[in-house]
Amino acid sequence: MSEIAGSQDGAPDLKRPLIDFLLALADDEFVLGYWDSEWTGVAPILEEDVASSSIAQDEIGHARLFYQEVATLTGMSLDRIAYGRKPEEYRQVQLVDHRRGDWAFTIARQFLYHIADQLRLEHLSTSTYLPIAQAVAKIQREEVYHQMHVHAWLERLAESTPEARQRLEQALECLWPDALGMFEPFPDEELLLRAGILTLASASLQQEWLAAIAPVFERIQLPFPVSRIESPTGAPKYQPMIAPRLGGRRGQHTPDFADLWEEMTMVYRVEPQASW
Amino acid sequence: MSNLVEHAPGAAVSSDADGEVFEVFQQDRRDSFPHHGGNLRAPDNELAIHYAREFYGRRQESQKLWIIPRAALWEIRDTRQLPAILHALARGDTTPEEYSQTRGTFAIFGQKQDGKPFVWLQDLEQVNLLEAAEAAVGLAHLREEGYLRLWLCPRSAISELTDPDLLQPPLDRSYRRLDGYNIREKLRIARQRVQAAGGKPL
Amino acid sequence: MYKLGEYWNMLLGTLQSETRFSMLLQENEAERTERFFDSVKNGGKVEATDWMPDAYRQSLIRFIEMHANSELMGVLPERDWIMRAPTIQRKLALTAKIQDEAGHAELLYRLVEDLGKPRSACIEDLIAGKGKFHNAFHYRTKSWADTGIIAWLVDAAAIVSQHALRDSSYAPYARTMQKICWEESFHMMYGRDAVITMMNGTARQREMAQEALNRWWPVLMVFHGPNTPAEKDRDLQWRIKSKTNEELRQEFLDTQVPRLREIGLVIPDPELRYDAEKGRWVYSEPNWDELRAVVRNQGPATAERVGFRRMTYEEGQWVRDLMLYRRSASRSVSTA
Repeated sequence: MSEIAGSQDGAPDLKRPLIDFLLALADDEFVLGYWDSEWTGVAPILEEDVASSSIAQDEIGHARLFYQEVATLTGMSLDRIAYGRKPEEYRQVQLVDHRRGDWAFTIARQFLYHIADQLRLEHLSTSTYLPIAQAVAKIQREEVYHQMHVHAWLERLAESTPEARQRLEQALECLWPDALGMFEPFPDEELLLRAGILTLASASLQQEWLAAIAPVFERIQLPFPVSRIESPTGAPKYQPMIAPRLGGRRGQHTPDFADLWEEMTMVYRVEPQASW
Repeated sequence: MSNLVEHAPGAAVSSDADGEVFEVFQQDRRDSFPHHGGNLRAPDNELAIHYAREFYGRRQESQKLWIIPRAALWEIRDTRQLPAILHALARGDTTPEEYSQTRGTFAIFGQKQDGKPFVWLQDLEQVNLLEAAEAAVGLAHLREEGYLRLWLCPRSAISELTDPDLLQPPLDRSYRRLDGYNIREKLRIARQRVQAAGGKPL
Repeated sequence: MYKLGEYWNMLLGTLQSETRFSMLLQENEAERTERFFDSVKNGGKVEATDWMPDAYRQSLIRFIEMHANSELMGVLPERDWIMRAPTIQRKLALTAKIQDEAGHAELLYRLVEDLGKPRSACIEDLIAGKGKFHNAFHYRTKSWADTGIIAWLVDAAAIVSQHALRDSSYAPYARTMQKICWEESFHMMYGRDAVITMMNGTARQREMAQEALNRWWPVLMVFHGPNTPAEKDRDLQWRIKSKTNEELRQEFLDTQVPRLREIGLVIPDPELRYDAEKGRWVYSEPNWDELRAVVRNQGPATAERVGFRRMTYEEGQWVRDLMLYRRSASRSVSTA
């Protein structure tokens, strides 16, 4: 499979799926970053306020990297791509649609998301679409700190006070269907796989994700609504016992996102052609 | 020379509820050695390192950070006063007896001038606290400029952060730096517009 | 090996040892205080671990606590707009600015703690409506242009004060101010960039910017406080700060008035002009009554802001509780 260097070499029938794919990757980080950034100035602990704001800014910075690639492919401006779409044109998973909730909710979601993201990035580092592979190499380095920080907090929430643990468990219970929704197949996923732009099917990524979080859930003794089927020949297979909440990749979003969209495009929509 | 060790009114230490204080030393590309940046509060060493990265590294201003529990630091407030008096920076922690029994490497920091931050001077190996203090005072007097105050701590108390993924992450952060802004052209356009309007605004 | 030991109640400990010390030195107390002030007036520096007269300590706590409170409350007028910024760059920059302010609050509360007042006590006073914070943060924001005007001009006014503090007699405060000034250098530039961009934009954007300036100008004119004469300003006497209020205001006007005018903004004070003979700016008498109300925590948005702070602080109590719990647990493990 020859490496696809950039926008010029993309075959026409790949262009739309590629753009949608990039938007999906970008929108995930963008919407998550927005909710995470809302803690700035009001986090429960001042030191943590600064730490979590850095992570939120990083997430938006990662989105920006993917939006820039979409800008190159479409000729549209960066900010028009980020703020100029209607709510149903955004392609993030519904996991990141939820408003930030309390501290336990934020950490729980970040944990579920970042593990999946780490695995997704590992596989994208060998994408035949070079701009993606290059972006991913940079993003992976920045994710090191995110992982460290989220893990530190997951443990603290799980192992300190009864109230913290209860809030964590409640958050996870609420988030499970959406977490499984992270692996909703991308539109035209088959095309992307055949071209090597995407190197692992979403269903397989889900298995990797479940295998990665299983030991953490076990160690911390958190409810894990997934059954594990041993295979005599290979790796165990994981079977979730709850249904995923799908639709995000196809532009179906929640009321929380509708509220966020209103707010985040509020000033932009005053003068969409203007420079700010 | 005997060193009198005592607890005097010093840097206040907060109660349990607020966590432990950690002193942070930082070193950037142009520094030859770490200098004191400030201090922070954290519940334990793990988060202290995370917060040190945030407070003293989020602008990629540091290549290296040293994070030291205040409880591990001793201060000599005035090197001209002999015998030198050792003060525990955080009260009520390690006793001088404990330290005089432990033999290891001690890091010495000095403040050269009134108001300036402490800088790392050197490590002393195979010494206990009292020996380190004696040697540090000797050092302070030997060097031309002299050092007004000294800090000492066991080298083992220092957590070091040098990971470039944490301290020099690759993506564009010019939005938070002065050099990320260039208003020259915009100013020129604005001035032109105001002049064209006959010096009258709007 | 040493252990991470027990921590003593700071206030009690400090008081006990200060009592011990002052008993030892009672006859030299007055002398010692005089020597201290002489040193400080002549540029001598004081560190956290030095002896200091109680009056100096209390003045410092008051001064720095208000500064810390102001950073923490300063976050609130701008925070709403993090979610509404019209471009990615503006969103990131505004988020980073507010992050810095929270960080600066942390640095300043740390100083206050080392002087004797725990951060929790400062914040409890703040949310009870007793803690003081700077006048600029008792007002509402109405439009995106407000964030640009605040970032440019409120920060410019603050920078003038903060530069003067880099030479404070209290060395930890001076060093912290150097760090804060360095970190804040982009804040003002970001604000100015945002406002110039609007002034170069559409008529609607220009109107928005002018309207925001009209509302914020009176706030800026009282920012540095009333024209207190140097001899009456105790913080000046002790070199906690190094310039009078009026000197700071004049410095602010010197730099910013030309910058505002050159991009076409009208300063909403017809009396404002530079008097070459007097060698200073003259302006309409500011509304000192309003400042007095604000100082009593009765500004237009004070109750709402303090209420919001209280709500977010209380909502986060369970998180602070778990930090304590966790640490006790890990400590008992390590001493086992």
